[in-house]
Amino acid sequence: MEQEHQHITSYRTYAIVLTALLFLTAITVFVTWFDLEALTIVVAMAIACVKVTIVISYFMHVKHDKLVFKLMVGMVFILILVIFLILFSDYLFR
Amino acid sequence: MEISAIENSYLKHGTKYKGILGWLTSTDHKRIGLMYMYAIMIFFLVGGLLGGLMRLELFRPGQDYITAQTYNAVFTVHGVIMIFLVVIPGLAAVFGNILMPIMIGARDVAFPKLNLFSFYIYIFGAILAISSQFLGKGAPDTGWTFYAPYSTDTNTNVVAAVLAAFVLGFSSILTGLNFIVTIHRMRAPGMTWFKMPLFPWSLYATAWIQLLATPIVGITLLMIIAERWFKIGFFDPNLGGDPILFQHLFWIYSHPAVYIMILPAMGVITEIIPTFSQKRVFGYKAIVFSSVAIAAVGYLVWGHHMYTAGMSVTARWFFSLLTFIVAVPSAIKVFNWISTMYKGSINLQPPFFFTMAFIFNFMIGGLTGLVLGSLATDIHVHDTAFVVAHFHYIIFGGMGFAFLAAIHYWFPKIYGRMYNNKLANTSCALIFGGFTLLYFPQFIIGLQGMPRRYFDYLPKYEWGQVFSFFGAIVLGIGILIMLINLFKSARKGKIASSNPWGGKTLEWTIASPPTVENFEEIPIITEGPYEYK
Amino acid sequence: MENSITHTEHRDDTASKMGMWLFIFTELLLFGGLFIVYSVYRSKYTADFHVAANQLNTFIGTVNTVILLVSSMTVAMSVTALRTGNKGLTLKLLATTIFFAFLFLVNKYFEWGLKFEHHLYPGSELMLTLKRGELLFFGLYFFMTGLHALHIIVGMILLIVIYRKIQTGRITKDDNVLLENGGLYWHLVDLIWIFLFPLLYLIS
Repeated sequence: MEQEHQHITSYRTYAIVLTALLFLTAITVFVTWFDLEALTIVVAMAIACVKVTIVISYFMHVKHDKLVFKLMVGMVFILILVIFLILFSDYLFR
Repeated sequence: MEISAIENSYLKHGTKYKGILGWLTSTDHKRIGLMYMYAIMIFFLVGGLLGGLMRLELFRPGQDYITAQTYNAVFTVHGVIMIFLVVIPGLAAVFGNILMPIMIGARDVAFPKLNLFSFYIYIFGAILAISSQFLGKGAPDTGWTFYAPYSTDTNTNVVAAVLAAFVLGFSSILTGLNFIVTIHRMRAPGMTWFKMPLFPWSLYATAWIQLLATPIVGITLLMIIAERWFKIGFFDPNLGGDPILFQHLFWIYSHPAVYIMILPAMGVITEIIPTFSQKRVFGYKAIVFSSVAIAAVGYLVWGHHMYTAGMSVTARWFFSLLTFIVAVPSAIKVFNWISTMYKGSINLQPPFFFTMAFIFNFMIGGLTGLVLGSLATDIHVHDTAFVVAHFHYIIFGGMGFAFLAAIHYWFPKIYGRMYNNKLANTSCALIFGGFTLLYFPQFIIGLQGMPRRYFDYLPKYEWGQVFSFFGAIVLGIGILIMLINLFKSARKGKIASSNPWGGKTLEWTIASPPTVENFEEIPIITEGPYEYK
Repeated sequence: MENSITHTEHRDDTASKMGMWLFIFTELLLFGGLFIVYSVYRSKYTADFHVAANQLNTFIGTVNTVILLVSSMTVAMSVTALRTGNKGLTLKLLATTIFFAFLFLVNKYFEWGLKFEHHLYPGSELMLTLKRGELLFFGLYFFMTGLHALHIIVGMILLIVIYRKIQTGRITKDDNVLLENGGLYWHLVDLIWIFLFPLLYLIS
């Protein structure tokens, strides 16, 4: 059985990724001091999505993984999004 | 082929243990598949007897044999057993386990131990489901749908039944996970995605639904338990909850679950028709894509169970539209099956008869599904016997007949022996006739207004219920004859050759029954699966 | 290909990893169901949710976020350490991760404990007097963070098992997929928290 080459991420990359994540956390806490009203949730979710993307790509190595993993992960998140959209076609129009 | 094939097969060799223990500890996919089959048969008989009990009660209007409360419990148990214990694991766990690895040229599934583990989770869930009937304050009476807020209020033993469904879902998830990885990683060299037989393809599409839909109902059922134990009120209007949200979450799983049942059935039919027509399957890629399309769109049509529940108009027409769209790939499959038979040399054998019955029933079930899927007509027939008839035409007439077709098709491969053809044909005729007599009248009295889940009714529906009762008896006799035939033949039947039907897929290239290792040497695939001359 | 009678145990790391990912998908959808419930009730009782969220301790929430992010990094680094053959560092990094996991649970204990002291817990009499939206918020809060904490515990046990296996040499530089899978699971726990944190603590 051939073993696929394993991508080794450097410690430095991980440190940079963590810094970015902590920075984003700081921002998301910081913006709650201002009253953005309806935008609050949008900003919070946008930042969360960026953080999740970073975690998946670097910590979970999807960036360096085979295409099939990228497709699967993408499909699952799209599915969750579609479920939300269809569900709210009920709740938003009641 | 002589007895020696059986002596050398997985039936005789397995783990270091002998006898029953050798089966219970085996990680061989074929043995696990057979264990599922025996378990499912037992549960099917139990569920079927409960169905018969309901038919008996409905034979005449008014209360005859059981009380209304018992009737409610009986249809709940019938539903839970048949849905969660029989049809959802049915084809995938039995024939998927026994044959999918062989058909893709593998020695086993990707995670054999996990496979055995999911079988034990299944048994554990089954025990929970059965015990929910006897423990606590009475058998659950919510129907298999566990609709809130009744399921959070009733004093009966709902928690055990709900937990059983949760546990069984976990077993289903692990089987799906195993199949996806197996199909991705263990196809024989040269077997590209589009050289893979169509039964594995349908299992692949099914496995994704199992994996991605089941967790939603899992968490929903946990919320029901939380509501009963901690008064959290997710679905209780008194505490601010929304009961319709429960229906949404429940059907996000339970509608795709219908496709978990029917997709592998379509896969089985797609295997049988080319073999008995000795002809290449018509439109291979169309069948593949329609399987994937059914899985994808089928995930998103859950709302058509809720037209009368109080959803927004926007959501209703949207779900109706999607429902009509999902009918298209199903129809594509039917056209492909018919076209495959066209100008083929048809070999009229029991599996083929069951297949014909499947197509006939599936057409009726599918088309009545469109009646239910359109908004206006659904208002009229919602929650009537029409729904019951439609549902049983798809699940029993479709998935059930495909299961019987699969047993008769792969029986010589699994046991290395052949059954009695005449008896098999007789049982097929009886089962089909009984089935039709049982469920077709339900369409008519449903249209006339007979509600489902009622233990009493107006005298004007009596004629239909009487027909159904006698249909149930014929059906039962047919199943009994079939079981006797199969059980006798499994032990004493004529020795079968390794390829009695002239099939072309990989399972027909190896001994009947297969050895533990399936293949002495993993074959190298160069052409498609159905290259008949 | 060899012609052996017994099942040939061949190793396929990609298959193991794919299996882990598929399992992670089911977990994502499990929590996905909860997020659906959350979003529906939040859209229905926006004001109540804001009032209720005010009573959560943003500080503890933020500290726990930081804890999880750092522990995610240490477990990711431990894979790098093992692959470069540094067993000692791998063990140290794993131990750090497990310690952080424990710290998270301690924080959670105090956070929940405070709520219980104020008679805010599922089924309490005080809860039932709250406005419907607040009641739902706290119900969701306990259910979601509880289920998440359960995953933390499972992840912790998983990492401890992996730690033992590295110690005894059953996970090595060349056979490290188990560590990678354990890491993936730990990142999943982090992923879910990344959504939970703003939705529960930051909406007031």
